[in-house]
Amino acid sequence: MLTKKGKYGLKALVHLAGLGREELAQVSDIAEAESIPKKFLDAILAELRNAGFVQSRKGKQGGYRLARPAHDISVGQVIRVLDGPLAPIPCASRTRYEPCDDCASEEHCSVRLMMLDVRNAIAAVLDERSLADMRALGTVRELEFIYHI
Amino acid sequence: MLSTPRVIIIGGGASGTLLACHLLREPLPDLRITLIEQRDEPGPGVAFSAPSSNHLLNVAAANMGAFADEPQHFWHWLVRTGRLAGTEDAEPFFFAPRSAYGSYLRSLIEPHLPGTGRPGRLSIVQGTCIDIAERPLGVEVRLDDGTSVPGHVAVLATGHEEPRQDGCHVSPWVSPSVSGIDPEATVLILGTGLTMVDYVLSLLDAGHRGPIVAMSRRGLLPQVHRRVAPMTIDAADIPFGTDISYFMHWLRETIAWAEGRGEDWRSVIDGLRPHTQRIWQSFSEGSKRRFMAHARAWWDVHRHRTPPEVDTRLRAALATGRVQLFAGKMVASEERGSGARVRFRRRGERREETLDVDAIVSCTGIVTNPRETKNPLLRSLFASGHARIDPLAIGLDVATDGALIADDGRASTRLFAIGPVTRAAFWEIVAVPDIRTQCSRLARRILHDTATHNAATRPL
Repeated sequence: MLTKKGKYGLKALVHLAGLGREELAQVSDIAEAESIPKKFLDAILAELRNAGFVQSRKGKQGGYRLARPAHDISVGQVIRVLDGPLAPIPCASRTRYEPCDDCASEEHCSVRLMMLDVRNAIAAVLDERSLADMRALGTVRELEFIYHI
Repeated sequence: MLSTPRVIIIGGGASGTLLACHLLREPLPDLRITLIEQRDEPGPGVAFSAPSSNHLLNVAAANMGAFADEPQHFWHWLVRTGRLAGTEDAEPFFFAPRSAYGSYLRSLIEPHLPGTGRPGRLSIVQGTCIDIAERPLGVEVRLDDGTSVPGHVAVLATGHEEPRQDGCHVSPWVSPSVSGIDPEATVLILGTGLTMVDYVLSLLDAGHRGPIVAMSRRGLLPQVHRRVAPMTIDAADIPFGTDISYFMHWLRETIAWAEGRGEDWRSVIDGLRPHTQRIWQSFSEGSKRRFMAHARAWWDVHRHRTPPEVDTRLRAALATGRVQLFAGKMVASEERGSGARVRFRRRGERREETLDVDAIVSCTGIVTNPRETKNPLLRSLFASGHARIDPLAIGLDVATDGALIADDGRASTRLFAIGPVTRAAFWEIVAVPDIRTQCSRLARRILHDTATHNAATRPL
């Protein structure tokens, strides 16, 4: 499942994807525009900076921007960093998974094996889409809406 | 009417031979391949010509097959041809002599050469390529003797750049006796990776008695192979596209997690192998640069390991002082008689020291700056704009399907590259398991895509 952290992180990045070159956005502005608690957003953006997806500048003129072009950052890359290895249930990953309390053998648990397949399908979709695609998705919907009115 | 393309492969080393094998596997009677090789015998390449049986492959026999869908092909060949006789306890995990691999590659192409009563689908031309000209319907590969070979597509499989060989500099790929190294000489080996290990063994086998010094910035030695199964790692587990420091942190944590479960770190490193090319391609240019500068040495010693028997000999030579290991950096060297006086600085020290040596062997790695290439074909392709150097200056700029990218940024439909020259796009493209996958993909691209998507296969 996508956590709140993952959802907010993606919203913030799509917001940054809409900025012009060299333009920076302040955390408070992103928080307001995307309805994200500011403190939480601070922590999320720090993680995204650590992973190399955003850059920040301190000071009055400071703020955040994408470290790479929006079409170079896939949605899957972002979610792995914020939510971990794309696992629908905690045991459904290959690395660093947490076995369930009531599980005798995670190697033979059919639920886990099924969910491993599910996550690979999720990854395949998320890795095919970039932040630029995501932004376009929202923009197209907006235009359709205007047209129909 | 579509016909089968005529393919010219430039370079008859391991990469070129593997590509020929993949193309020849298709039951196309009209297929014609020309393999151009400088040396008189194609097949082995730099890595597999080592004459000494002490030079072992660094990949287990079970995974050295020429074909991606038959990794055990080489192992079965060893068994079938009776080459394991006298090799006790040989089993698929064993590390075969490199020379056996050279023979294996030759055995794969021999049935396709012209013989009595058959024209052969493969021909071998001995010569040096100096240029490729594009023609309306194909390419023309020019050789240094004035002749040229026409074809529909040309594939560069030029392999590793020949290392410096002048003054007291000798090639690590030439045996010490052929290079004229005196058994009492002081030999300085720059680099402490697998190439250094091979050269030390060559020296010891040749009865070398003089001092041997191996030096690299960190003085890290390759780790040893151990028989462990690679961990299954899915793409969904891997943090693609992150900064190199984030990625390496993730890797260390994953290894700690695996070791906490009683698993070996090698399982994690080997489990990443199916994903390394995609990981590399997901890195930003800055991340790639930082990988080269900071993480590569660490990655290399864990990823490119020595067979246990080789490691035992090396450790013994280090323990008895036959080989000395320095962590440091050569500052300068000046000629002195037939040898050189080398100034160097040990890691973490400011003071310079000097060392008088009789021979310097550069084993600093196979990544060299393509701008300094001595290969006449690469030089002329750079000059004509048919090829360009990648942003990191570690190889040719190629698309992920192997197509050469020209100076104007366009990917060629007739010029391709495989093997180590394509490392900028793939990074790990030096070992047979990686190269055979690349060859399989390119063979498909050439035989099917080319035939259906453009006029590349009209009669020349």
